[in-house]
Amino acid sequence: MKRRKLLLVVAFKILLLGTAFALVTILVGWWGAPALAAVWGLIAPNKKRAPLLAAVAAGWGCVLLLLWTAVLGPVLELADRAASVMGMRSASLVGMTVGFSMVLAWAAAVTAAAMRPGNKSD
Amino acid sequence: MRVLQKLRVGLAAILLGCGLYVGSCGIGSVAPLGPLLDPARGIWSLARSARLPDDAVATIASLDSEVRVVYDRRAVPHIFASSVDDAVRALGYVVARDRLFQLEIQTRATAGRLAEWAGRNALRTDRFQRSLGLARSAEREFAALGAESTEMRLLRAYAEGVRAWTEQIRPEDLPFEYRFLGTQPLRWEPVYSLYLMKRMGYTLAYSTHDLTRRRLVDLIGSEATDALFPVNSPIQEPIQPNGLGQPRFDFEEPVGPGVPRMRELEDVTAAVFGSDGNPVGSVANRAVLCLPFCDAETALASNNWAVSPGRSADGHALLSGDPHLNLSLPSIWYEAHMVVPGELDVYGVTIPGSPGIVIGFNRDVAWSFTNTVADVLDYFREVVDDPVQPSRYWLDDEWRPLESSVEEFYGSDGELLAVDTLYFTHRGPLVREGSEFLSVRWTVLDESGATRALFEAARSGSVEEWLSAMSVYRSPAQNGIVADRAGNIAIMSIGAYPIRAGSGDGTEIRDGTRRANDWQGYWPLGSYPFALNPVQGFLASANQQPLDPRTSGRYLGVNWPSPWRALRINALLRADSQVTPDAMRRYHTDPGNAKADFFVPAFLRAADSMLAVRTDSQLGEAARLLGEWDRRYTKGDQRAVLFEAALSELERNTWDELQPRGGGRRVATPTQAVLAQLVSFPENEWWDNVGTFDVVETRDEILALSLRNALQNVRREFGPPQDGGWRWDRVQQANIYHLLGFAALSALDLPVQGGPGSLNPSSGRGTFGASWRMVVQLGPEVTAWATYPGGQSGNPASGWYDNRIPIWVAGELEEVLFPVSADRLKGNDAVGSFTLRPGGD
Repeated sequence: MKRRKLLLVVAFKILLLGTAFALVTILVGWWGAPALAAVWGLIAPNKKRAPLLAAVAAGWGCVLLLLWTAVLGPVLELADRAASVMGMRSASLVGMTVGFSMVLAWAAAVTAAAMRPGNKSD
Repeated sequence: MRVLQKLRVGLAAILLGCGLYVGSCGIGSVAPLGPLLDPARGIWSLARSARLPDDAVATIASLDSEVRVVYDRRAVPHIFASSVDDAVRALGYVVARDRLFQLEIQTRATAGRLAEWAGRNALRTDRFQRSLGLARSAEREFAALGAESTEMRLLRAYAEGVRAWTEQIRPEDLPFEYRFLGTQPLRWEPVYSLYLMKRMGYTLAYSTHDLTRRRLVDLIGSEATDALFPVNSPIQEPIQPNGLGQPRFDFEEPVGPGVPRMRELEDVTAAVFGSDGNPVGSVANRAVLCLPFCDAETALASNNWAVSPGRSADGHALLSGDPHLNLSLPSIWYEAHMVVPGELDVYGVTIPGSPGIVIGFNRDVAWSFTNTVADVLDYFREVVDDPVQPSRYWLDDEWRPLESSVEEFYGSDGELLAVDTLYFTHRGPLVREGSEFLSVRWTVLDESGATRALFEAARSGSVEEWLSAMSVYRSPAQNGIVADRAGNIAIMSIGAYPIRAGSGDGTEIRDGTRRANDWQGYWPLGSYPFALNPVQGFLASANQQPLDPRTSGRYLGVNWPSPWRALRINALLRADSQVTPDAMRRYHTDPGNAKADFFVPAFLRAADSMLAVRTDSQLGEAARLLGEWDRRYTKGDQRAVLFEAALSELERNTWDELQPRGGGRRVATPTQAVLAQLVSFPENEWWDNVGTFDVVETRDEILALSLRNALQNVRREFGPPQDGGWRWDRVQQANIYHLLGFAALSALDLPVQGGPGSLNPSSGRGTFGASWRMVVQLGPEVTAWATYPGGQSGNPASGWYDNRIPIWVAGELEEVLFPVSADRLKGNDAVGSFTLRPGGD
């Protein structure tokens, strides 16, 4: 029961944080994800889990944006064509898009968390 | 544990640094990944802009009043405006919306500024383009326009429309290509529309014939050169009907090859003067692409024809437009309808950058063009004061100053790649060929007149008015065909045709030291090739010689493309006195071929004659296979490949004298009409193979040898004839490349009906073809059908990017919607719309 509650809390956090990632990307662009992740790395209650949570949330934010785009236009056709131009499969392009955001978010969160005051005691 | 933690942090910091660097700067030629993969604004956002606007609102600061734009089910914008200027602004806006990258790449290509995108890879092309002086002449033409002239109004209005789009562009609207190149759109200037006209002039009217001719004269003598590259086509089926009702074969025995000159044949190298001292713009290299020697038979293959009411099934005039150009995605054409009540109601295709409709129709008149292929470019041999840094040229016994222009070429990072100094005499650009200096006189570098002519033509109410409107048109010369609702049909080869000093011949390089050798003026309008309502009841042009030399002795051009297409379309039109719009459509991809009708019997006769004196199973089989052919280039045909191979072999075996003695490419290839002429003379010297010293070959030996070799070649390349590898659609396809050559955004290996010399002459790499097909019936109400190979949108994610290609491949047309007002486009007919409002500056 406790484990389920914990999972729900994590899922809720990812959902919220993911939405924040999506919003910040819309507002400032691609570098909004590492910026927000860095902030999260600095302020997250649990700094050990902060990078993982930031990465998953950034990925989720990316997926949200792609889903939103899919509602408004032919994302699959675009993925096919753009991926072919880049010499890859469309799934790889989606993966690269989501992965790029996740990697940046994780790296930013880890780096920021390491700069938190009191880090030496960890 | 602490070490691991430090490693983790270190790794993260490195990843972050690398990620941010690759995200913002890219690696090598890869664009920055951040903006590219940004899920909100990157390439993904193109999916959001792929759909047509739905009742949107936008602004153009200079608009006089509101403009309504409705997209029909074929994504064609119908522009309803209150003034012509507003309609043109809206045209600029919709074209920029759909074809922004195309607008810019065309402009850069003309301006010689592609290296700013592609770096050194494009430098050679850029230097050559600038050496032509196209952009310079556009700038001069623009500067000479009156501030209140019609042209200036149109150019400005169009630019205002384009700029309105680019200035308000949302991240998701930035075309795909800019993202890959990591650049932003150029600010559109009114003069860029004139760049486009110059670009068309280069595509359609640039010629190095005079230079190539000189090499030929060195190789085979002037008499032989004139015989193989004649001023008059040996097969006469002129655009201006000569009253014969059939083609005339003016076959004269060609003079044999003369003795090559002893001096070493120089490479034809024209050069401007580069900062690095190396010759740059190479005319010889461009000759591979140029007219009329190399590509005329394949690249220039436009057709147009019109039928009088007396020969149409419904008793209305019919007109067909079938311009053939380089195929690209997006297409060179953009379809649009512009309505200004009481002033303008025109439908057709515009070239992105042109402030109006180029080919199309209005409520009364329809028109189309083919290239005239007239000789409108001459070279003059100049004497300069200093071959290294010339500043003056010799003219009429005195030194005259050369104009100069310093051209700087920049790379993609803004670095200076090269500096060239271009020089100009009063005739035009100065180029260097070997040790000689030549100046270029070319009508394309003069005022084009196209903007005003096309604008007035769009407003004409009759054939007479259309012809009058086009009288100011100067370049590139075109065979304009026109029909009206009153049942009139006419054709005129419009453009500026120079009157030359002396013999009037334009085939030789002239002495530039005397002004008396300059062009003396231009043909009077009354001398232009022209026909109105001919007795035969139809008119047609297919790039053939416009005037029968027995009608007019004036020099208009040389080495005319073989008139196979003209022969075919005229045969079809002569045979049908009840022409329907659907028949007009079928003619576009008619598989018949006058060239095959001429040469196949010649091959078979030659094979028979050779087989009568000796046994040759290979030749016998080749003749049997060719004899089975119905001479139609259908997709499933399995014999055309053998014929084409035989013809290619025949050219190789016949024109061996045109190969430089030291080896290398044939200097030039006479047209197949000249080859056809030679077939009438079995013992002519040209049949002799220069490689066989002790034998003198005859026509039949060469024809039979070519057919025999062709079978071997085709078997080697495509397998045995019964295995299906000879199918025409497997041998020859159309290839429509994206403007940047991305295969994924191209349409490749498209099976099409037609072959070299047919009305749909798919040939070579298949990169040229019918760029727009249109049939117009001028009844009480104008009805039209059309398509082009591509789609309206330049956005690869859009359903309108290449949706028309299957229709084009099948040779079908779609009926176009031609509503008189916006409210006539309703329901499924209207798939998008927006309103342009004044303001928003």
